[in-house]
Amino acid sequence: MSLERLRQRRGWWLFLMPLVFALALPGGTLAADTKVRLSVRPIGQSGPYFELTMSPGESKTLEVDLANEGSAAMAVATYAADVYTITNGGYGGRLRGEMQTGATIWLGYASEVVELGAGMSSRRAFTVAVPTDTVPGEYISSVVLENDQPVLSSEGMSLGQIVRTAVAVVVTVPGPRFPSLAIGEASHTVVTGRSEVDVELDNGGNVRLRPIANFELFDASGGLVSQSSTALDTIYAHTPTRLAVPLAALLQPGTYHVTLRLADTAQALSVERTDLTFVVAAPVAPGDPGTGPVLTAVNQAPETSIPWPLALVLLGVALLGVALFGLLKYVGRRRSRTGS
Amino acid sequence: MAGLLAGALAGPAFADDTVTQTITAGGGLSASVANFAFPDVAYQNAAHDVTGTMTVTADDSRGSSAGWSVSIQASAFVYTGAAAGTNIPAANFALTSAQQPTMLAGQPVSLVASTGPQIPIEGIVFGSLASPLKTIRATAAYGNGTYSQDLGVTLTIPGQSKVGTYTGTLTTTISATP
Repeated sequence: MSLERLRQRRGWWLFLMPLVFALALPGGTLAADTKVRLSVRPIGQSGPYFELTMSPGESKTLEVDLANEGSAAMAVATYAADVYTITNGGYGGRLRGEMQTGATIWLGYASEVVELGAGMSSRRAFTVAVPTDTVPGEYISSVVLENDQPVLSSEGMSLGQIVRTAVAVVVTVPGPRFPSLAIGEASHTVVTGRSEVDVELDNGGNVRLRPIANFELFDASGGLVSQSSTALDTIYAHTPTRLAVPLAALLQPGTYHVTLRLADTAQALSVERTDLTFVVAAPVAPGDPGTGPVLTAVNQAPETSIPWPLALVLLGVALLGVALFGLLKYVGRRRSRTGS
Repeated sequence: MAGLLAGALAGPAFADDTVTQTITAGGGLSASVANFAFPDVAYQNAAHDVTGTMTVTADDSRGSSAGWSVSIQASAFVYTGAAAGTNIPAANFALTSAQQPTMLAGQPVSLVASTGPQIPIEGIVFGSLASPLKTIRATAAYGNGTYSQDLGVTLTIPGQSKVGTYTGTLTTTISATP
């Protein structure tokens, strides 16, 4: 059947239906010619980021170069971002527009969008002012540079990209140092078909830590199921995080116990917990209807009368029996008359 | 200046014949994702996965041998269209695999512990990209160069997602931090 006939016979709606039902997550790639190459260079620092020692009430002026090393001019956004610890340690920086707290508000670094030509850089000064009531310890914030608008590739692309470069601003307020790390509860999740054991951690001290985590997993009978030793990345002072231990297989349903020891020899810190427990629930079988809704009970005796279809059948059989009886009786009489 | 690497290429020891070459600070630190594509998908009543591979490229041209790390994070996929659809949550976009990086230029890749660049020695974490996940890291004294890394990702499209366009934002962060 030609398309024209199909259109005439079924109407335009049928002709267009396949197009309408194509969910638009079209293919596409991030174009190489829009590659973003931005950098933040701390000025006057011996290391790759700002590392300062400051007293309460002290203020300093710092400088940073914001550079566009790409081949095209673009609008770039720069801002100060809170730092948190991501899973298993390491830098996490709040996104643009998110709340600024802690040491970030010590920075006199206004959020701004500027145009940077290809190969150009812009030097920017900003202040760090430590409040007078600040207690000793380490504090961290960061300066971020990113493209103002997400880079989209060809027509219909469904994933834009923000490319960020971040440089830390670490301020140490001299005084006693209190390394501390609390181990919270353990839990179990399934990621890409395998088990992952998570344990909550909290650096409540005033220095950053880089502990080695020794993890042991036991089943309910005390058998060792898995163990690992992992050097975690930085857990920043005053921040929580979690230890994630991906396992090579899916744990069987049951109760499990975890022993976790964390040690940072550089900070003379060692903590452990041996009482962590979690339960892996049995998976729900596909098609299992479950328990269903709770229905209201009915206090009534089951019906004992004969259903009407069955009654009709019985009545029919009875009538047929009577008719057959009458017929046999009639035939018997005729035979007796004929015989006499 | 941070990252300044000054090197002297001295000529032969003839008087008044010294040639000096100074290498100043190079470029910066950058990372981005390329070669990423979603296949086309059609409407479905049941939830289904769309998988793909993205390539992260990290470049350290500072010349400071200071190390770095790269993380990626996704936003929700925002719906636009005429069918009153709803957004696909960021939690539906997940990192499912990561290959060791390959060197495009610069220092070789070393997979020995505490060197790199490599997938994080503290154990790469797979799963939802609603929160940032670190994919590649170079410790101090390593990672001067350009490196690429292939990452497997999956987008779970909820069943009965309306016909339309869903646009997410991937944030790639390279950081110079303690």
